[in-house]
Amino acid sequence: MTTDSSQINVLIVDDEPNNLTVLETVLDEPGYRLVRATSADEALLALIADEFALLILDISMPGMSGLELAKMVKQRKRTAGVPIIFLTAFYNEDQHALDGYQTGAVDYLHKPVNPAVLRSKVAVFADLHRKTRQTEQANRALLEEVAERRKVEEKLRILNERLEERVNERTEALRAHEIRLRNAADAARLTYVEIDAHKGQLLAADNFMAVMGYAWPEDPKDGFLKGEDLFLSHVVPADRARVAAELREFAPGQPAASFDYQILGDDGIERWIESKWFVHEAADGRARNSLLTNLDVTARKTAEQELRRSDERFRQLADSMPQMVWTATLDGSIDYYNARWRSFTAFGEGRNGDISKWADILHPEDAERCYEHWRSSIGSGEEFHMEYRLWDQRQQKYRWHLGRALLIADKERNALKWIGTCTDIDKQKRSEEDLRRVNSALEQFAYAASHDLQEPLRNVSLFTQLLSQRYGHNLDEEGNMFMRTIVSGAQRMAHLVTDLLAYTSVFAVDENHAAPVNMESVFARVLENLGRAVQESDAAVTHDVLPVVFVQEVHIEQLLQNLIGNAIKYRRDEEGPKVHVTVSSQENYWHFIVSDNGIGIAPEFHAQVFGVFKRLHATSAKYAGTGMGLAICQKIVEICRGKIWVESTPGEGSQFHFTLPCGGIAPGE
Amino acid sequence: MNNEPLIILAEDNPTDVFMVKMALSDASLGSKLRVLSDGEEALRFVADVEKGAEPVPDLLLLDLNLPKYSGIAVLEQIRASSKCSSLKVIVITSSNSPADRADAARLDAMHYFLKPNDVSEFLKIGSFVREALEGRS
Repeated sequence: MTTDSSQINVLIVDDEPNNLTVLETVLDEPGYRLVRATSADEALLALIADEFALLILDISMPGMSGLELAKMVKQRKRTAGVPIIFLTAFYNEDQHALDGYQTGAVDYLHKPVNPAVLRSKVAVFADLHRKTRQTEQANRALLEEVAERRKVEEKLRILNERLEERVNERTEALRAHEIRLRNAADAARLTYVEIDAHKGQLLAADNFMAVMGYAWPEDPKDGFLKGEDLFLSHVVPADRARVAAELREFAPGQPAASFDYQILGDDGIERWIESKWFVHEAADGRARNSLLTNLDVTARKTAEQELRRSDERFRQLADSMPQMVWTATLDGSIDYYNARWRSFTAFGEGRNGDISKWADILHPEDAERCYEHWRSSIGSGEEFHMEYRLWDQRQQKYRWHLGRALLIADKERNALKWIGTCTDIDKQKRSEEDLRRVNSALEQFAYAASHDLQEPLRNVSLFTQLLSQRYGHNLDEEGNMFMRTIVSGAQRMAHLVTDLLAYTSVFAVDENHAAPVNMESVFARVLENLGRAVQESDAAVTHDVLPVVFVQEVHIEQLLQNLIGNAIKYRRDEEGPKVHVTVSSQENYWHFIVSDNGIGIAPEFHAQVFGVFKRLHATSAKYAGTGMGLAICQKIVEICRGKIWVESTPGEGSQFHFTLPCGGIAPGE
Repeated sequence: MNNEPLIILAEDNPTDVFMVKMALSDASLGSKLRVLSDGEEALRFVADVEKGAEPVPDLLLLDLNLPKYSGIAVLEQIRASSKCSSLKVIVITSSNSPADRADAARLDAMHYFLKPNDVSEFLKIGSFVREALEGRS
């Protein structure tokens, strides 16, 4: 604890309390705070508790003497500097004084103490103490200030460092930026010349030579004119006058003019340069600063030229083609028609119409559909493909055309353009139509003919039979042979017509009559129809469980009857015919096989047997037939959208395969 | 009225008429045969039966390809009439078309007899006629 600044603590130590009281009386002043101790121990305690400006010690004390106490006090750092005044009763001055000074005493006083002397000595020490304290305070303040100053200095130093760093960074950045710019300029093949009229300086960029192919005149003293001369001398003759004019026509403040030209560099290479001329007035209004930038556009120019040439080639090609050709931009607007188109439609030169012009030449019935398809192609990029009628101006009628358009792209698959053609298919289309009509007429005729032939043929057949039966006995052997020939001929004709009728009537199929047909029941009916043949030949006809198929019932009946009938008919002599029908289910169709153990068919005839009126055997009673059976089977299978074919080994048997599309119910369900 | 059954034959082809007659006599059927040679005659006959001017026949042998009106049209009329609606009909025709077969079945024809090219086959119609007349179908 410290006292207030004016008061000082004085410790008085004497084992005799009366002495302490005397001292207290002598030193009774407001500036002194007196603390008494009657023993060294007490004194030490007091010293711990407070800060003392002065100790007044009685040397002779019981226990620890004053001297010993003084030693202890001096040893303690905190109290080492505290002045001590010894009070002694003894007169043996020298000895005690020595002792005293050895212990670091400051002063000696003999008892009885002269109050005035004591007071003055104490005053001196008090003063000293005060002054010391003041100095210490001043020191402390100074130290603090110094510390503060140092802190500020440190901060400043750091700031400085940082500043330097930042400046370096900025400089670096700037430099890097400059390099990038230069690289970019180099990469872009851009260079410049700067004319500072005020300073009379010419500055060409470092890459001037690299871009322009010749060096800007080194000496700035030569001025712009020399540079200009040198420049113009490198411009190719054809462009020189024009470029010179551009350079003359500058005026300050005007927007930059740009012009392009060709130069021939010292390296002998021709370049296309695009220059921009910036002129601005200097502050003094008279001098002019200018900047001339030069960009090497050789690549672009050559590409443009190539494009023009390519375009030209395309047009020449397109104009020479017999087809009509047009091109359109990606949004569908036509930008080019070839010569043939123009002459066909009589649009005339220079009238490159847009899509709405098509309205003039498209057949009204085809127009809507055409626009729809075109719109859809534009949107999706898909190929445009359509047949439509266009008005032929010269022939004054509509002609069928096949319109196609493709979206073409460059190497990177960016869409470029649509190219379209219109090909005249009028002749084909009309002949197709004619063909269809003829075919249809033919079919109808065949049907009608067979139909109408039936009756008379039947008449002939029947009556020749009757004739033979009733009057045959009137004829001789030869006559009867003639009769037999006539009868069999008539019958054969009748059969032919019946089969032809069956074949042509298959054409007249009405697909809407297809219905789910249970092949099992059809099979049963077929066996019934073939009853006599089965009986006569002792045939064994078996089958897998047959499915339900979606067809016309009569067709399936005919198909099975023909195939099984054939299997029985074309049997081998040695054994009775065995016919088996298998069925297997494939992905989306049924696969049937009618297999027999008959005479078989040689591979070279496998295709032939399905032909109309095609027989592999001469007209004979053994294998009677008209050659229509398999043709009818094929027609039926075709109409049902299946396939039919044969596999066979002569002498062993045949397997007739046919497929019918699914859409029915599986066997056994 | 004698008790010989009356058979009507609607057929335009003379040969077929001849053959039917032969078949009937070959089967020893004591029957009377009346021939109508086209669709118009047939319809007129049906109308006459309705009026009571003609007797109701026991059996009708009907060709489908009749001139003027088809056999099917005649059959429709017969089934629509009151007196002939349940008349027994055997269709004798050269047509094998599914449509005709279906129509004949729909209009309750007892048999659908395809005119054959063979004499012996043709004579089989006799047994069909006998069956029909004897009430077996």
